[in-house]
Amino acid sequence: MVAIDPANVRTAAAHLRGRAEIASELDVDLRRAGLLSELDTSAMLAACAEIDEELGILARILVSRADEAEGFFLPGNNWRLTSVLLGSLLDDHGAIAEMTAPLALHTLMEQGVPAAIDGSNPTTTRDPVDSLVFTVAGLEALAVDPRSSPELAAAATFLATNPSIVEVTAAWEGTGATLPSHGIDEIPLRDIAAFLERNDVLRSAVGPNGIRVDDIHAEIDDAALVAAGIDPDRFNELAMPRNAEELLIAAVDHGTFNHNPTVARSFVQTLPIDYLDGQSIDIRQTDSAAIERLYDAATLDLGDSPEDFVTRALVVASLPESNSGIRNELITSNYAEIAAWQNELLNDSTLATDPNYRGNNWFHLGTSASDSVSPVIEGSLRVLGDEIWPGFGTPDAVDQDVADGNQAIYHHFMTSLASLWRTGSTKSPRLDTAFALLDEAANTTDTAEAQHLVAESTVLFSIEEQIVVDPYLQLEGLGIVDHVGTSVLTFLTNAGDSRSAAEVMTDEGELSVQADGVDLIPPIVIGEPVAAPAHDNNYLDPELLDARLPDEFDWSQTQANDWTSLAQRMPVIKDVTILTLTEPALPAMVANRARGNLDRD
Amino acid sequence: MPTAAAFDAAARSFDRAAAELTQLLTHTPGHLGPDTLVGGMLTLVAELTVGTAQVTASTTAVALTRRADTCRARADACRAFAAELEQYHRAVSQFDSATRNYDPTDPLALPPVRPNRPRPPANYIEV
Repeated sequence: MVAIDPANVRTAAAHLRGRAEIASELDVDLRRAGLLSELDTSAMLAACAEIDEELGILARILVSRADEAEGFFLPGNNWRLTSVLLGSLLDDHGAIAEMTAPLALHTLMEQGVPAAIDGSNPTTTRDPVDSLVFTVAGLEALAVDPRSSPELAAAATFLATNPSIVEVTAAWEGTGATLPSHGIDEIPLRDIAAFLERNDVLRSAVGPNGIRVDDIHAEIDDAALVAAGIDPDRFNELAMPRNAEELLIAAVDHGTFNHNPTVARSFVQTLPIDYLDGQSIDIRQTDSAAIERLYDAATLDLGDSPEDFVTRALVVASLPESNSGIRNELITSNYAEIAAWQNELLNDSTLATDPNYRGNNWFHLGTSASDSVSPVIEGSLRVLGDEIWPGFGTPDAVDQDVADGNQAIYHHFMTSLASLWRTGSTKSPRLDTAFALLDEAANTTDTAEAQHLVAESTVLFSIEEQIVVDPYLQLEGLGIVDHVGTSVLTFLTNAGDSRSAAEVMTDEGELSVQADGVDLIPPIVIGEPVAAPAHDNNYLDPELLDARLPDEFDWSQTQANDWTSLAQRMPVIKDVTILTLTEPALPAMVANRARGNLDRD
Repeated sequence: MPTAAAFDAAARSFDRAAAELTQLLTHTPGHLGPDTLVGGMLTLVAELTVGTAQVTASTTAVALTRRADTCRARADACRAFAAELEQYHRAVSQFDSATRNYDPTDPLALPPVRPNRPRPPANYIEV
């Protein structure tokens, strides 16, 4: 692409004209010297004439292009924006490069983007700035055309999927200029330019030197904008949001950083995470499609190597969530990938029904647990519905808390995994031990010992998980705590079929898990003590296992009277964890959630 | 034919032109930096044009410097020939005087010898 600063280009053109003039004036001196000396100076005269002519032509071309670029300028616009667009269209599209700019613009007006790219059929004399429009189909073609610059492709993608571009139009209206008339599904070039300008301001605003996210709801003052190199007046003219949360959402929606995978990943890393920052972006304010585009952009260049998997996992860990559960789906599928990978290391092709099966791993459980909270995030399951359990907080707050908790566990485990991969240590002694036990289990020939090692490892993972999720179990009262707890209890029985947690919850505030009309676990009344079913993995020696586990909980407990208490909850979690070890439905369910098989539509 | 003065004047002109061309595009690339123009065919065209002009100016400046050197050498040759010619004219005057005083009956007197006119070392010599 080409970018032009019209003012500087004019200065350069004036300089070139001056140089050409000097070369031209040498003609007189050289002719006189030739006459005096009777030496042949024709070659030198020709050379000076050539310099004069070439520099003069270049100067005229530059002035012409400066005129064209200025024709697309918006008031106060950053010069690179529209000229980048102009350059993308006019300069880098093969045949277009052979056309004059006005000719190409006229082609765009008459024939739309495809014809313009082909450089065919140039006619019309209308003012291109006011009348140039793109159809949605044209933008879609432009978005995927390999000849489009990344920025133009990103802009076209957004515009094609947001043909009304309300906020962009509003931004243009803020300039005080008159909007060109355009039809349905037609987007004026002015709007595209306004979109690009808005994106440029967003980049500055949320870039490394831009806004701070210490408090994403605090209003950004003019001093912060000036520090980021943004004119506050222009910021207001563009109707830009005044707090970090809305700016970040706008940047996600606009694909502001989607034009380059590295840039997209850097941007994702700046997004607030409740687990780390104590605040997160409201899942009701985000757009699933925009988040998915950001994810795609940030992982575009990643392959199947372990390093790339880790990078992809860290992208997911920092993505915002939407109330369609897009991040939850990615988390679930990534858990599933790890579960399948570890299962292969541990069990190769041995099935869970085989006595020699060494056990499911914690990531099987993570997959199921993450999957079980999706209806809460999506809002299809109102755990704290007012009619059933009043007084436990608003459903929306619960959605957010569950989404944040889901992210917290995943973020902690993925950053630990990344650290293990890159440095050999997770930075968590408990997880270091858990991974080492898995490794030991995979390498021992003693099946019984391997089964105990897997059980011990999985309980350690569960302890770590429960510690991370603990603050989220304190939120919004007992209802959500009960839901999470009972979801954990039920996952093993509904994992293998299509039943969701919602289907196993009764409308009486009682939870039952049945198969063929038979209770698999005793019915649980919400708010009542929760008891774990005694584990039936009789290949494990309970005493031997308990002896191996950390001495920080009373593992003999079988009931939790208070689910918010880690000490009471953990023994039950341990029993549930042990129960999952040979659940035969889990590997199949996990395989269905693995990346690539996940239905993200 | 050019005189030494003409060659000197021409040499000065050639030198001046060479200096102009040497300096002609020194600052031009700075005017076309990233603050002015980035990427695309236009940048390539600008860089190619300026680069070609720089090479042309540079080679032409070298050629002009050679022309100036030639002019100075020829001016020197003109001046050397002029000196030889002046010496010749003095010899001719001496010869004329000796001829007038020569007595052919004096058995001891030698006839004066006419000096040879020097030949210009090159066809461009003008005095």
